[in-house]
Amino acid sequence: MNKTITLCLMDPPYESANTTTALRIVDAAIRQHVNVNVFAYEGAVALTVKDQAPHANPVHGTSVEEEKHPTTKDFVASLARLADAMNVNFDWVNCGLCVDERGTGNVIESARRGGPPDFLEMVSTSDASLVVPTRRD
Amino acid sequence: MNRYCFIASRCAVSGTGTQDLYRRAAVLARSGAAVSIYLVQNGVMASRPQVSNALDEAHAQGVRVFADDFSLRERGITASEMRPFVEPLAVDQWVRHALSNGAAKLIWH
Repeated sequence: MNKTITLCLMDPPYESANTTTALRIVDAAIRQHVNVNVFAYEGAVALTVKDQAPHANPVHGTSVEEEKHPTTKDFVASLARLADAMNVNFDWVNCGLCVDERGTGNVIESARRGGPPDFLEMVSTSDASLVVPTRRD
Repeated sequence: MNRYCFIASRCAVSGTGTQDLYRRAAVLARSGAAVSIYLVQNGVMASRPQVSNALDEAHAQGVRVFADDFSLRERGITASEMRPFVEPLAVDQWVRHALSNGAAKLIWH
């Protein structure tokens, strides 16, 4: 039986290396046939917003194609595809209240709307859980 | 046996509370728990010698100290510059460590 890990993310896109590390953990877990739950809370609900767009870099003089600016929605979508390929469960839940506050409801298909009860259910049914808090120094 | 896997993402010098994390890990290890610290991001700066006595003390109490190999490479820290007890570890190996031998409590700082 596959193991399951739950992560709670709180940082918004492009604000913290924490998100990169957390997504690397998700990727590594999926590749080891570990089921992954992610509960996106506070600013992290913007990680899956469909309206994200790559951009050119005028400072570098690069076009959109040359810059290959990554978007977090594409990271998450690729993790969902990887999970499908590895035949493991990948459940990404955005906190609905956080979504409404921020107007970030237009999200990719890999994410669904939920709430704290989903997080409780995720933690209760996981082998391990990791909360990645927003830095508040 | 209780297992605790800390992830230390902040610099030991400038990061608030990082030294306390090392001390907390030492206390847990002294009480008989299996404890590890995974240095990631700027947390890997502590893999260099003489950055934190508290990390030395944690290791002396039995805490295993790992350092994310990706974060080490990003910062140009090589094995020869590291304290001998700090073990470079890829993130997939950390996932295996965290999920092996029963569930561990995972704590991010």
